[in-house]
Amino acid sequence: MSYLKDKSDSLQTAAKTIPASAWFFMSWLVLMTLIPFFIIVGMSFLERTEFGNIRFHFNFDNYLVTFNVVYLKVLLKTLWLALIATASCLVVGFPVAYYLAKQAGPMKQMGLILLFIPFWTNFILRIYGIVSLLGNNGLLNQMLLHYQIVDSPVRILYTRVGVYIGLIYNYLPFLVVPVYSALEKLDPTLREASFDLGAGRIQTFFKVVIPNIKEGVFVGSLFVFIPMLGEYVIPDLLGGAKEAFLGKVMVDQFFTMQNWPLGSAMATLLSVIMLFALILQNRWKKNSGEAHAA
Amino acid sequence: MPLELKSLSKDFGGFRLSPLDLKIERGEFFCLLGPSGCGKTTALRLMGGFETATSGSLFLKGSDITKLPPHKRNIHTVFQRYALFPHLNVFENVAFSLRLKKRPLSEIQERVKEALKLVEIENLATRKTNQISGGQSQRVALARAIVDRPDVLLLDEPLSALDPALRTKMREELKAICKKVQLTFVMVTHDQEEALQLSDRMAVMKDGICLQVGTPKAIYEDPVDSFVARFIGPVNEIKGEIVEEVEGVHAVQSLCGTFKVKKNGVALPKHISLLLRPEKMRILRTKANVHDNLIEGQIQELSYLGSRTEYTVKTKDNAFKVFEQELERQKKRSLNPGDKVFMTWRSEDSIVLPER
Amino acid sequence: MQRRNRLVETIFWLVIAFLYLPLFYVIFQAFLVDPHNWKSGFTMMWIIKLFDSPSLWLPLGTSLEIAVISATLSVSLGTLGAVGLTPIAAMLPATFQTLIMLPILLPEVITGLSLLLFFLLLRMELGFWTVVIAHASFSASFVYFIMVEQIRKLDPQMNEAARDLGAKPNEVFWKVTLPNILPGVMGAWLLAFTLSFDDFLISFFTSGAGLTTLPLKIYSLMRIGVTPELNGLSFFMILISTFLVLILVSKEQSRKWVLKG
Repeated sequence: MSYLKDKSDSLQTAAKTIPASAWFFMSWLVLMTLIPFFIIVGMSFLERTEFGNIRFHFNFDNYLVTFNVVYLKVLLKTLWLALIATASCLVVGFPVAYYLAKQAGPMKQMGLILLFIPFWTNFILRIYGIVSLLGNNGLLNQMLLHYQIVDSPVRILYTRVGVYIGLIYNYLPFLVVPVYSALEKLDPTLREASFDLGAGRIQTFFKVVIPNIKEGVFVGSLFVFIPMLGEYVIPDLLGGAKEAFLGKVMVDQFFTMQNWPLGSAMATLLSVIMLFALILQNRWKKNSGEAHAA
Repeated sequence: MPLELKSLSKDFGGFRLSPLDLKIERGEFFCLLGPSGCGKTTALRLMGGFETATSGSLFLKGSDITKLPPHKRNIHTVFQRYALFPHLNVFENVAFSLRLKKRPLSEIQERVKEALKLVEIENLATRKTNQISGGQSQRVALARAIVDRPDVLLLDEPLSALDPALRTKMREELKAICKKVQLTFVMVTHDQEEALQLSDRMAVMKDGICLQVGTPKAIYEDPVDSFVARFIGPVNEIKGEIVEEVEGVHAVQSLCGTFKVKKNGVALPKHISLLLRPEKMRILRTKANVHDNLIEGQIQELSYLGSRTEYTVKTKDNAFKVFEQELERQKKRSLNPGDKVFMTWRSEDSIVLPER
Repeated sequence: MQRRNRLVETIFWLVIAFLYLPLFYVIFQAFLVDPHNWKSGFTMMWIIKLFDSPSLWLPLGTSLEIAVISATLSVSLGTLGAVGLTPIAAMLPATFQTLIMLPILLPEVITGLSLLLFFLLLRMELGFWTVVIAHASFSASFVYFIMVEQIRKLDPQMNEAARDLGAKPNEVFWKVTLPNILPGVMGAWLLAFTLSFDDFLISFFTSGAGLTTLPLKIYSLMRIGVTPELNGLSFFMILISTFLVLILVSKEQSRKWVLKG
């Protein structure tokens, strides 16, 4: 209780000291981010009538529905898919991060820029690029058919593989960066010390490098993993019609099913997991900060 | 009277500036002197309006300005690190306050030119602020603050960002410029030499308390407190007790002998500290030309500094610093560590304070 | 040791190739006579045709208008916020920091959906202005962080100096603070512009039926299948996006943000 009181006190004093100019910004944030977010949270506790209207009846049913068999299956499958995609990103991204961390001077920055430029082209275009390459009429199939390696187009897109490729393509750099910065922070003398104490390269990697970067890598992975769960467009455009993906199911609740409360419950769950990851990241940052200070 | 502080105080929670009463006269150069953390900068910021006083009030030319924000006070500041505007050139920096007041262009040009001429940097008018040296920045900051003739000019350690050689030179120029512009100045400094050289009067502060206000001479020769005495210049101390008084001449008995002290019309406590400035003592090779007081010792260390020589003389239970002017030293035999010497001083040349 | 490094280097360049190949092929495709046949030869025909059709100019115009207005709005909001909050940042409770971070941290789907519900509940007509507001709502926070960094670099005594010389609080902003952070303001504007111009998902949720931005147009064409028109539009979109990101990267203030995605 006293903690809450302290908190509201400090909020009050902060509110008093905020200059007029900042009030525009703060009110904008409250109006355009916080309130819409709370609408979703609030909506998740309401009820839908048979006609698709909303009844103001506070209940937890939407959360129960989210965990019933049908959606639980979707949830588990989505978790699995996202897990595999994150692991793949990590496997591909680690050497990339390692390479960048080893570079000296301008090449380091150039490498990062090179990695990120595609992500500042439009998201839809990136997907379209993949479709153009790997679609049934895409470059790959054209070539395979031309050189008569196959008789009929290989179906890569509109399958689960398509979803994997899309996810890896779009999330890879966001995993490279946390791994890269964890490697960067790693004191190079640690590795030298390890060699000095008689450890080999492989031993050093597993006993010195990995333990020191694992938290950074883990949190970085979470920040790729969680948005993947909410991914809507990639499974929609690259996955097959059968692939029920959490993000797609969630968006469908709003548009096709007209069940806003249920969709909101899913969105709220996703946000809560995201905020949880954030707390985890802060804790990790604080820990590593203290370790540095000491 | 341009500036008057009436029990002005500031409480930061951790640090407290005790109620301060000061009257700063028109055309005066006033210094706030003290070590860091003594509250001198807080006092200056209260005058500039950058802090709001916890209690007390501040009057500018008779009107209460305690609650006025900085831009409504006709008081300007020369900041420690100058705080020149990097997006404006030298001319525009100086013209800043005039432009805000929407003065006609011809007047702005004339007055900026005049101010730049005063600080001798007319040739730098079109330079950018990153193309001038520290000393030049100092001059720009000064010109910017005096161009619209404020009632009071505040200087926050204005010379501390300069290197030592330049600092001494700028000190003299600052004095000359202040003479020319005839404004009222309040300067904050921790450098006692700077305060002695520049100020008409000064206040010595410590731990948020103003210990003494007075002319440099009064502070140097008649400090009211042993901290003030030590802060303003080097001093030797003898502890003792008064055993006798005859017509204003007191006899003070101490472990290193009995000394005469001349103080007219002042009641002294029994236990006192006798403070002696090193330059008011003379060093003697023989027991000749003795003043009122004499003490025997042995040279422990000496530093030849050109204009004077500084000796550390060891006595039975004490060590004294004594300065000897070059002109006087030249006439005499050179001294070496280990030499036996005598120190002498006149009975009116000592400072007497109650023992701490 | 040499070989291991060679291997890592090879993987790096393979990944880069994997990232760029689809985009290069989209550009390549736009000049193919038959988009479904990579050996059909080159032509400028599709591009020229596109110049005469409204399907390029209309969405492009809409996208640019939205980007300009939302960037201007978010730069005003974010800069004002940063100017006001930077001096007291240390005193702000973590709740405030989280609130400011929220638009950046929330998954885009959720930002989009929550704004959609918000607009619907307010009975706002979905279209141009809802998209503008939605874009400004996430880019204002980006602007805020860029500007805080800019303002931190300024000498805090400069503000006091201006007030001391007679500047009123608003004059301090216009005559001293703003001129000194102007390069940052421009960088932030460009970043907000790019974020808006490239955005698909949030526009998708908040645009309603009537409005078509360039990415939305590309999306709707994509659902039909590969067409010359789609390839042409994609070509232009890549050109503009790349141009924007190259400017962003070349500017000191925004480079860091490009690398955070």
